[in-house]
Amino acid sequence: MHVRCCDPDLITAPQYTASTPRGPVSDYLYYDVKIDSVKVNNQTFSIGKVPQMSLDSRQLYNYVPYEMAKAIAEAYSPPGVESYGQWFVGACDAIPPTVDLVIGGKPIRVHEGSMNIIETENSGNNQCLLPFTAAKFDPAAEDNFYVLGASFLQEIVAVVDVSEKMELKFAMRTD
Amino acid sequence: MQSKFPRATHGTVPHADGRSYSVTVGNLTIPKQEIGLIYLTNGGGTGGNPFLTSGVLGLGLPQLSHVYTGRDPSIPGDKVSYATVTQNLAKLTKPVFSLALSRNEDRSFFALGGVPPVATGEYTTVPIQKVIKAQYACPLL
Repeated sequence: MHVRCCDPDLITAPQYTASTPRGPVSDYLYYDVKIDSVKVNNQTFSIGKVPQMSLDSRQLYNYVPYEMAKAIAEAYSPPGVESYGQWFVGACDAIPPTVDLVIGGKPIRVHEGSMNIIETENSGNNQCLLPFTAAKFDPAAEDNFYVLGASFLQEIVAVVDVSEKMELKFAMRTD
Repeated sequence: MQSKFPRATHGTVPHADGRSYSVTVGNLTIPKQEIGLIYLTNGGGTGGNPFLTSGVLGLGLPQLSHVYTGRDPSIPGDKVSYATVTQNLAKLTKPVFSLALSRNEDRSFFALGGVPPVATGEYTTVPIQKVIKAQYACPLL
């Protein structure tokens, strides 16, 4: 729903100077949503402090804490494995786990059709990138961007209310 | 307005400053809209994969939408805010928009002023979270 302004690869460029205000801010910047918990195969997955995540339809993938991406990958049959640093890959025809993000007390299930991104297969090797990847752009940073991308937004309705309410609504499609 | 991913178009430049366009999304037209015409982004695909991107309609919050009157974003005085597409579309309808994405293009909707005509289960409603983090200068590259 927005083009993220400051991806980390750009932040490393000398884009600000001493004259640029860069103290901490508290403001509405992204369509950020608080995740109550995550369930993998109906088991609540403990990832400690579940971060607030930004809705970003421009991103295909979901950028989540490393431990969460790893746990989801390993719940595929056959299990997915870590690859290329922050990515996880698995068989394109692997049986995916169910993944529910509990938002506002209600589970929103990631659609089964988003759990195998078959478009990422190269050369017929039956290896596909998985939709949950680790957001470890900077492992030392506490304010990594966590993103719910288009693979989360598939087959749900996401409503953004930018009136004074400033609310997000989610529902799973039944049509 | 409800539409299956309408084509967003812009008309001729009505202002001498060259930054305002008429923008039409679905059947709603903003006669004078300042927009950034993107010719370079960070991340042309997703994860290095060349997925097709045929255009970008920014629906971001106004706090991240600004332009610089010069070419050096480190000069604070050059930073100018403006009413975004989202804000101006809200004046034409309700300040609500929604997405219903599907791999099936015929089932994909972007709705302004309400929700698309699809059946759903019960909605969950949560507040948009504010962000507390360092502030970076972000030039329009």
